[in-house]
Amino acid sequence: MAAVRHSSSDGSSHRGMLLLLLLPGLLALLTTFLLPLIWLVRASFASSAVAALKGGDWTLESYRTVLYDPFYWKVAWNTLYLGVNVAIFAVALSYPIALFLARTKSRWRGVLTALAVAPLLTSSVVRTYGWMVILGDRGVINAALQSSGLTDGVIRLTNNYFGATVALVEILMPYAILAMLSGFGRLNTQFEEAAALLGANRFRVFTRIILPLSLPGVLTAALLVFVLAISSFVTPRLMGGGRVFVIGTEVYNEATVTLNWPLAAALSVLLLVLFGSVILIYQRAMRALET
Amino acid sequence: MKNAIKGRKAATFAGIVAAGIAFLSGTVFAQDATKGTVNVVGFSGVFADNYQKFIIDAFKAKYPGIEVTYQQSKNSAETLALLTLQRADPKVDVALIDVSVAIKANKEELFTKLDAAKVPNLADQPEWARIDGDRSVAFSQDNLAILYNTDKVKTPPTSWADLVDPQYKGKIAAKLSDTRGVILLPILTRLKGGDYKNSVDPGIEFLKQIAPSVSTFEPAPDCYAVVQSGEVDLSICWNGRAQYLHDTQGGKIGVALPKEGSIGQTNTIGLVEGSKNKEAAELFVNYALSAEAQATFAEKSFYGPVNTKVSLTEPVAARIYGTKEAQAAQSSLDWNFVADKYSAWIQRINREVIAAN
Amino acid sequence: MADHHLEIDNLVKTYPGALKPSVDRVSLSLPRGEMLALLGPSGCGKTTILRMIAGLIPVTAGEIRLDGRGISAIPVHKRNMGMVFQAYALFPHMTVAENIGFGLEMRGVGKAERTERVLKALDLVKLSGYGERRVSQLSGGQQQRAAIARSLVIEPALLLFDEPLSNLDAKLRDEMRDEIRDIQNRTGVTSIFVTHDQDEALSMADRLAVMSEGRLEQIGTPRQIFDRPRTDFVASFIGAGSFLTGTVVAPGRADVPGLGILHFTGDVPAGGKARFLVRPHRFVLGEGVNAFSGVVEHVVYRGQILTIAVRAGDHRLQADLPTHAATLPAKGDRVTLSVAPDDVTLVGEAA
Repeated sequence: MAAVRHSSSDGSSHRGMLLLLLLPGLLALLTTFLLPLIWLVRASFASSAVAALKGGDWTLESYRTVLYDPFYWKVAWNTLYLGVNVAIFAVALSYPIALFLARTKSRWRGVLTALAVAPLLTSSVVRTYGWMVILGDRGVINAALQSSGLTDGVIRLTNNYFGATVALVEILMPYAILAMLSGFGRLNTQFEEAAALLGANRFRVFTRIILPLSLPGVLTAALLVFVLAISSFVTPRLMGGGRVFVIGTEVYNEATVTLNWPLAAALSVLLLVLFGSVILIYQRAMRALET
Repeated sequence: MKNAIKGRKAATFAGIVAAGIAFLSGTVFAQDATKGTVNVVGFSGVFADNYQKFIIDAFKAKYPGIEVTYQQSKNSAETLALLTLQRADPKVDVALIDVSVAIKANKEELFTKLDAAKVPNLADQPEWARIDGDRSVAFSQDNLAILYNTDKVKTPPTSWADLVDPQYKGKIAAKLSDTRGVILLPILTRLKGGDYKNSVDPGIEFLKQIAPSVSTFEPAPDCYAVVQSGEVDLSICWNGRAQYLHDTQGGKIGVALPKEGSIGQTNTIGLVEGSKNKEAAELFVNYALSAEAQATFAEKSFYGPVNTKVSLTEPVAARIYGTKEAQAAQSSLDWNFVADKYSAWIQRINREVIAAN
Repeated sequence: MADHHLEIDNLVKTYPGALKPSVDRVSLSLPRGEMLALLGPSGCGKTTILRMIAGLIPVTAGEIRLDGRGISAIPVHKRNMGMVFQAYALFPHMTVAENIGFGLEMRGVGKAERTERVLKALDLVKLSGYGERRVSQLSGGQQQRAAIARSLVIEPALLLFDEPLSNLDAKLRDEMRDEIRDIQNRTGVTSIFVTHDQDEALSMADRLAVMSEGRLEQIGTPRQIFDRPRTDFVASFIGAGSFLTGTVVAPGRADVPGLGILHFTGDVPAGGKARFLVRPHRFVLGEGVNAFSGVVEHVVYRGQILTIAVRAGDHRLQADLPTHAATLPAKGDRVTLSVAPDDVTLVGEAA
């Protein structure tokens, strides 16, 4: 029997070893995430793009614009509205799929799960283009509706909020499914069997056992989808026809067209603040469910 | 006999050396400028191809001792960032950027004032093209035009006012929240009898009338492809590239240069402050601004020239400006004024025109 | 047949694609109030039978009757059976009281009555005062009791246990065994429990049903199973022992090749072959009617007993000896083991 020795001296060198192993990862995180973030916050206090690069002055101008201009209130509202809509639909549509995948005993389970998540293999830009084709004026859906006689003219399904929402929902569903699958840990067929034996019919097994126990997974999925949706920019831009003004699109416009980098940075900070608030709410909710 | 050959060889050699010295001394100026390097940064894509072929190669033919490199930049914003970051130790000598970005760059003194003695062709440029005291000089204008799909649109539009024609309802692509919108406002304001320097309200009103017909304010992948594919009937876009695509993509894209005339997106050339190859760069800028270079570039890229001494043949002029009526109506902007109003106008377009539709 | 509470008639379960049935024509019946153990190694079909009775698995063939009425067509939630799962399956998002009251809630019992019955159930399993705790705050044994309470409060027709003691440590096991037995006696509810542990089965059940590979090997009281195993399987599954095969030469005497003459009690005609089992604790040290000498090959000291393996002739005999003697046999010693003829178990003969 080989003895594994963990003397006290080994303990501290063990920790030192751990730190050393973590170092590359920490450095990578620092340079690729933390430093740019610090620059961004610093840039939001500059007076112009060039000033942001040189790092000279300090002004609250950008924040004043973001906080007092009603246009940006609308932008923030649009962003939240889009995020909530997308989260609700993505979670609602993903729930049955995730539930099925979590509970099925079929030997195809692994394959089916891979299929559900497979869309992530395709870039979201490509998938967005796909939606433009499907929802476009000459796209599959309009063609089907017209040929079946259900509609007369063209229904505008893209180049607006509707198109952006639909595309975002589909693009983010795999994330929702993954989040729910990992969050469905508490779900166990034994609970369902016990409930059934105690007299719960299938509907009540769902509402009293499955639904409450799957709630942590649902919340995590909703958070993930919401966060991804409010930070999205490519899909709202491509599918929105220029009509969808969300924080992502505005940051892009300010950064590349009007070259108002401090404003773009301030908007990004606004987005971060939104993130933070939502995560706090999420943590509260999870703690309440934790018991 | 051997000595004789040796002697002849020596004589030939001496002759060559003498000729070389004579040649070098004949073309040497005070600072030996015919030898050198010029590093240019400018736009990418077809522009880069054309610029390389018709400006840079032509320049190199004239000055074989000067090496010219061309670095492609995605857009003027990127070039501005590049110049700012390299400020202390510039690696580029000449930059081609959009006029509004150039004005921003000049606020930071990133370009040097050009010396009219070293760049004599400056005298041939119109007043409006010499910007910020010759720190930036306009060298091309790419007109805004109405593109149409030749399959679906049988009678091409002739006026900017055609945009409100109900036959195009829902079939127009118009990216307005960038330079396109900024240029369209003065054009439409003048159409309505106003002056953009006083107010662009007439232009905004006109845009509001066009807006309901617009299917997308963000054509993807760009304003050319959506016409090419027939997704929309009309698109508001830049003439230069449109002409190129018309020639190379089977003529699906038709270009209408409205009779009320257009205004061009203006590019400028500037000599970078602190450039290490100042003399060679001055020669390059001078050549780029010459009537010869401008004419060739205009013919091949369909960008309007700026040099006043350039005369274009009729067919070329038609493809750059449109009909004789349109040519006469062609105008340019006070770019210093416009650069100041740039973000404000875009904001108005965003909030009053697009957001409401 | 009305006095039989539960009847299983030729029950068969074959899973789709399987070559052999998991449950192969098992029949048994339980009188009211009896505690039956389904005992066997894993894969023998005992849990499958339990789940078919509960309605969690569909029946392939055969019938299950409760009070004479077939129940195979009745859906799970209408069968009125209580089941205590191996992992207890207490709902983690409810309190103990809510868990216990769940069945009553499903039956539409009013809040006041529910509360009262839940309190009584908590009392019954000695968990009074634990009602407002969350499941995660209970120890293993407490969860077990809560699970039992949850199943009992609905006054089920049958109480089913799936490996009730296997998740508990030794000390808790003894405690719970007594408690479960006690509760079952007091409430008088007909119960079936499934286990692979013979100690559990012998100590808790009124009757045992030993199963192997889907078939019922033997059913009887613990004493019957232990003393009169009908097959080798049952004999070796319940308690250890030394197996001997011999030819009966005269009434009560068999010739065991490689060992000698074995005297036994039992009615086996001469000339026939017989299978014998001697339980380890039946051997004593010293001379006797059936005395066999040999060398001690293996010794295990177990505190209260000393298990030795002795090579006598061609056989390895296992004996459990008391440890109160001054000197105990050691490995290599030559010893004589003897067993009374009455204590020789005849395998295969019905009691």
